[in-house]
Amino acid sequence: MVRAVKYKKSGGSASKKKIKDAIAGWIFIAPLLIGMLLFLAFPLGYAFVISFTDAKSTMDGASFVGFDNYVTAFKEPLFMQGLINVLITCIAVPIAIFIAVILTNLLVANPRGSTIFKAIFYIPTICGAIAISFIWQSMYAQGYGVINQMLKALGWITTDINFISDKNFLVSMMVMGVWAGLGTSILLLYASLKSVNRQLYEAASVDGANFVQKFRYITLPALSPTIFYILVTGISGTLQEFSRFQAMAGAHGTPAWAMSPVWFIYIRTANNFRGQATACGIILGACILIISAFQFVGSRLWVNYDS
Amino acid sequence: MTPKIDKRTKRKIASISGKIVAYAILVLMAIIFIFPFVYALGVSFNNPSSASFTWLPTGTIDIGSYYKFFVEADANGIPVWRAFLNTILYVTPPIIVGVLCSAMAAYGFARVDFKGKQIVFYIMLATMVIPGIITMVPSFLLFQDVYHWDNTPWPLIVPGMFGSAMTMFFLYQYFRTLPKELEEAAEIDGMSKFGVFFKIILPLSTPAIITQIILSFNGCYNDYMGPLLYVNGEPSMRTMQLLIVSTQASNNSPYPLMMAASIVGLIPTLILYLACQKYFTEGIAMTGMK
Repeated sequence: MVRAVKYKKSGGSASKKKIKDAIAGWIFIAPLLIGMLLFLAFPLGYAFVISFTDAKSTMDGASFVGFDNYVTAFKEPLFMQGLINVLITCIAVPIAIFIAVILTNLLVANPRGSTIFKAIFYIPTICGAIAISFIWQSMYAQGYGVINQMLKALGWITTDINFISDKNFLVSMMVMGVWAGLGTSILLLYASLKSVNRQLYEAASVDGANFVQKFRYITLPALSPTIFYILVTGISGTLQEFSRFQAMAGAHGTPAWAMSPVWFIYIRTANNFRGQATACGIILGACILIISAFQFVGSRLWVNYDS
Repeated sequence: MTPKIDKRTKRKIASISGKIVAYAILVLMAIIFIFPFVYALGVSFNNPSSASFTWLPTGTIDIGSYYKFFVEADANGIPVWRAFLNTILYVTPPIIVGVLCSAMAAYGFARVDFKGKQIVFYIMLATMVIPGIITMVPSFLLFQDVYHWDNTPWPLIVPGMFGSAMTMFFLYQYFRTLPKELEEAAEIDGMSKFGVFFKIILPLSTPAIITQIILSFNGCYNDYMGPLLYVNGEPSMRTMQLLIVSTQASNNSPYPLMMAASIVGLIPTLILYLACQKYFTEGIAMTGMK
């Protein structure tokens, strides 16, 4: 009898607690959920509506034009050139990861001073795209820029290189991009390499593994999820570059050699072709999703989630 | 005996020379990373109206660029202090309220059991792969047509105040590492879930919260596209980034002035980062990606 009462009581309070928890839970997630519905889900759905209209400055009075905006996007030389430009710039992402992996290994193997080195490598990442582009623009400058002066002092060139030109712009952006992004990669890689069990390395040493083998069979598999994350987010970010491209080449107007898709979308938005701008946004977004999907499929071959 | 010692000495020499090479590379990289800032500082101390400039100290320090940026800023339509104040006013609500909302959601997902939680959580995670560019123009049109927020800073302030899935996910991973016993003990003592969150979880998570605050401050403060879209048409509403950009005109690159503006613009993020550096690296490591 006593047991039954007790059981009933606790059962009752348990279900009461369940309801209380459910209410608390939904209250906890409510602000974020509402924000995402209002400022993500709604605009996302709206994007597809706008992209099929000839919306100029507003949606008022816009009429449906079918797939016209999508078709004309592919005929826009500036948009296409922008896509090619950012796709080429993506080459810098794996290069930056390669450098970051080497530096991270050096830091983990030589812990003395690693905190200071990490802090220094991270400084460019906290700086705005505008400041970074301006600083590099002045270093790239012809005549007084330090890079041209240095190359001349070394005797490698006799006349100044125009780094902000059709031929060199993307390479200039890549060099700057590696410098600006390395800090985040190193911080993330360092955290995941630190969590690797040191005994694995000792065991491998006992078995006679050399440095390269240890790197290949212990370090790389351990880092692969982080490398994959940096690769996907890095490529997605590069494909959506805008501020750096504009700040770097802004003094030249809107040249095709420095165009990026987002820059093009911004121009179309500012010029009141917002239906077309939206369609271009969806096309770029779809490209990014497809490229990410391919990376996910490919990641099964090399990313190790065991540890 | 002798060859054994030789071998050991050899190995020692190898390890020492390896260390020397490693530190040489690290120091060289550190110099490469710091040099652009030193260079910018050097260039900023040049005469702003002269076509030539040098980054090496020449003995005289010309603060004309800073004077021009701070005092003669009317050419940009807005004084520096006003642009800075605008920026702080725009970024503070999304940072403080936004990180709090993200943290609340993170706690809800990490520690409170309720029906439908899992599906909402996975949908939120899935939204993180959606490229932001897709919603950029539609959001612009919504703010303009529906909310009538054109030429106001509200589009920069309000959406961020609801938090972000990214911040939520980082904090979610962190909350999962906290011991459950404390919460259970507090709940037995009659504390509600909200009490647990505000009195136990938040104070325990200082490094993670500070990390997220710094990250969102940097993101909001350095944002260029948002202010360009929404407040650039109204000079009195412009932000620091818009002001820095306006120091360069087409076919006219006054590098000393541009460098002075860039350096002034960097100072807030740099101070915040250096002040919270200890928490920051700790926070990143603990909320590290899996």
